[in-house]
Amino acid sequence: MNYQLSDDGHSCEEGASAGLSRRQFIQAAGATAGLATAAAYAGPVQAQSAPDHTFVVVHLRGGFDGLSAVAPAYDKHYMDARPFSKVGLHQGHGLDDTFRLHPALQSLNYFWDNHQMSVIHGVGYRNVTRSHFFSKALMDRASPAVSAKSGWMDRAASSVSSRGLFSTIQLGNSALGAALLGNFREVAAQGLRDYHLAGVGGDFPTSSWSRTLNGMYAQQPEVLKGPALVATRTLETATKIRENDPGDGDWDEVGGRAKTKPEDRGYPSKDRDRQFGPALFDLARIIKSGQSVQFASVEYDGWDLHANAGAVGDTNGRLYQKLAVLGDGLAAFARDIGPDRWKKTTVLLVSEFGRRVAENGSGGTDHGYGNSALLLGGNINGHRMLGHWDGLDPSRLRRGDVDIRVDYRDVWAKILTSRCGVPASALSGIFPQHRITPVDLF
Amino acid sequence: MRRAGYGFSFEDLSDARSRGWRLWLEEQLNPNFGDDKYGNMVRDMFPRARWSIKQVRDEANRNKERKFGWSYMMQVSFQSLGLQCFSRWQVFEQAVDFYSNHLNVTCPSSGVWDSRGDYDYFVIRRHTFGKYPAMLEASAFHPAMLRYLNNDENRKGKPNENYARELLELHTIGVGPFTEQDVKELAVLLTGWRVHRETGQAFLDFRRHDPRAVKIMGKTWPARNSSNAEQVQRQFVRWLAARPETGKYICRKLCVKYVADEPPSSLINKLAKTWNSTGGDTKKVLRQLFCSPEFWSSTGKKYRKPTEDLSATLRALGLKDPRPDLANHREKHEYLPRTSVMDLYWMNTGSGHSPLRWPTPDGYDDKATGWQSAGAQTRLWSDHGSLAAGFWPNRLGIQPWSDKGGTVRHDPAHAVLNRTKGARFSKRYNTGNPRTYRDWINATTDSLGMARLPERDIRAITQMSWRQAGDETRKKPDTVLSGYEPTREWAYRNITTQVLNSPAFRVR
Repeated sequence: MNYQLSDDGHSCEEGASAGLSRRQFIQAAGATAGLATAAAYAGPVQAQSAPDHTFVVVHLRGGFDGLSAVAPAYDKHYMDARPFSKVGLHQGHGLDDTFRLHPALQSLNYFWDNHQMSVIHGVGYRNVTRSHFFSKALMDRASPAVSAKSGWMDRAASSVSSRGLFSTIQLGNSALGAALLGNFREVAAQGLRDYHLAGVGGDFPTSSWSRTLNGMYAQQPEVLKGPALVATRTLETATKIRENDPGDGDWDEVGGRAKTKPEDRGYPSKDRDRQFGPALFDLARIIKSGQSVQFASVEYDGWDLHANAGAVGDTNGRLYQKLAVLGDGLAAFARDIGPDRWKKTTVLLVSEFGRRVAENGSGGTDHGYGNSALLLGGNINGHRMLGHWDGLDPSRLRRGDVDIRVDYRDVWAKILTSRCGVPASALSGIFPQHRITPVDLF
Repeated sequence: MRRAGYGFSFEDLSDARSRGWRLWLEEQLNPNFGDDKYGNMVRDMFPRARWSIKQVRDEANRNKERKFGWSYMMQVSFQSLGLQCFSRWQVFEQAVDFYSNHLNVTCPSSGVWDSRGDYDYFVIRRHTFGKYPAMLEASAFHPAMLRYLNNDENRKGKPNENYARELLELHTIGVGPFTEQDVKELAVLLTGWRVHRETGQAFLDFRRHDPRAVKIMGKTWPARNSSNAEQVQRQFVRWLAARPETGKYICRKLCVKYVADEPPSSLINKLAKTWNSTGGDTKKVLRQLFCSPEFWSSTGKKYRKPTEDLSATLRALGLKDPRPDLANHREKHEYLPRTSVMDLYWMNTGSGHSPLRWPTPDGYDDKATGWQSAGAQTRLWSDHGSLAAGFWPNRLGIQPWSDKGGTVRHDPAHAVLNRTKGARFSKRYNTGNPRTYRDWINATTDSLGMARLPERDIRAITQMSWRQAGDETRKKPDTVLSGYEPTREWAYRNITTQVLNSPAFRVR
């Protein structure tokens, strides 16, 4: 379990022994730098050696319109409910005798056809309301306790051994999402460039800043020292990644060498948000540097399209453009990390709620309930319609919404146990007061 | 000052020193809000924060997009951070922060799109230096709290226990002294409140009220009719606020905030006694806390939360004016006068602690283990660098000034260097003051209003100032500076940043 960097021969000895839990890892990181560590963070954590697998959760914030992405184009009620925004029978990519993939997602056709994508229908987090804020908080924490101070991804990551400094990360938004909230919040970042201190540069490289910081913090109480020493290690490692593979927007000086733009690697160039593509580009840079990423949360905001979402054929429409960025970005990411790594990657798209079946009068859709979710990966036995689909007959709907028939927690639990090495015994702690119902995914 | 308030600038410190801390404290405990130049500038920047519910609603009726809009709530949030950073009355702002977290109503959150500012003023700020029972009563029946903890959905036959539970567990007596049965009975007592759909005002709808007599914690509350139901409810809340368990619970929380993560029980007991004998007089309890020997002997046991760190950094760097430097900024047409405070808010969000933003009813954790992390630490270090160098928010109101060479300087770190007492830096030769690296670092800490750093930190910071790798061992704190050194490559800026990054500055 050596997370050696590809070409500088610098490795972190503290992480080299397998079976360290994340908490123990952080303690160990402190221990090498100087003193014996206080046992402040030690808990009876059952660490299990984790497989080399990457689970990417794409958080589509704002309420993703699953009924447009994977449209039940052959359902009569769908045609009636969405006269303006429906995916027509000649549009997009036919998936089976009910569904067509939105034409903006054409980059994903390949994944469907090659068994690297499945669709989960009727999925959601039970008890969400129509409030973005409440639903996001509830879903990310995945705990009924109102005062829960950790998110499910943090608890999941704590249940397996850490594979290094970047083993759990969030990209796309520098404010940490609640899913990763916990005692050892990782550095959340807009991108790799944010693992950086203002003032670094010229005669004062990262190494000189971190040596001074290490010197000042090495003998502090654990509550200061632990996080500080992990922070300096992360900064140094991120700097090396950027020096070896400079990207557009990095702060580092790389001696006049060209910096790669995300679009040079096939990430969407026509992207008004500049959020999703660059985040995946950076995630790929981290993975390709040899750093192990076990849990990644990638944030993609702005799906709350109540008005003027645009018709399906309108390539300048807001929804079309966002879906295109989503599809093109995921396809570029799979290519970028390469087929071997893609086989060890599972990507799940989640959103706090779906959207109302009937479109509204402003060319958009309002907040709904159940949704469909895309599952991608190089080794997922895809090309399947999963979950539960009841059709859109009004009598089958829940107050005008698709009902939730599959709980996200069951989907996550399945991926965690079958891909990420999370022991089944840890699930009750990760999803408290929830009885896991087995779901068929792979 | 560090623990009662948010930190100090060079001038604050000499002011407090010359008058003595007791006078300073008394003045802080009796704030004159008219006399708060920079705090009032912040207030003027965010006028919507003080809109009444009716004003927000009227605006929403004029402009449909404003309904459920966030701009009003964001102004409330920006104003809170602005006041924490720039107000003269920092002891008051710290106490506001305490009670905002204690009776947390997350901002922004959708249920309070029209009422969060009203809550801030008429519940929290009005009673922060007043009596706690009055504050609790105001919060219990305020539309913001009703919506936030769903007591507006709590009605006869369909009880919602959310508020009842948090009222006991978080707002008053804490876990322990009550049973599940008490929660159920309390929910019944509090049934019937609604928030009016059109006006956004709270009112008791007796048709939804369950009037049966209830027994809560051994005390029976009689059956109610439409004329006395609200009176009995209010009476109950005041009774609960005055319980000795409430005093003990809140005084413990105050000690965790101001004294130590594991506070001494002697102090908690003393404060609780005062709390109970004065009917929850928050100011008297705070005064006793600040004057207690436990407070004075526990220096160094608390670490600055990210917001406290930000506020202290601004004060140490002398950034006391919240206005952006519009006149001297190239892109001035893009910016509003409030841009700097908004940028600071987003900077603070990055380190995870913007005021009022904590998503659950329990408020931000005051113990270091609740927020300290590698991520937050990286952000704080980087923010120190941004602020010291004037990178971001680059429009923050440092007055530009010209150095001897005629270059216009905006960076606060240069101002720190400049006010270093008697220091003369020359590009060519060492003027003799400061003479060594140690002198230079000491001068910087003095100028930031900090105590001198321990030898270990001075040595570590000295190692920053070298040219080639391997050279660092040659530079000792007592090495004589070449005159060129401080001005080279913005070295002074990085030294200032690292002094702010030192563990000493993290201590409250």
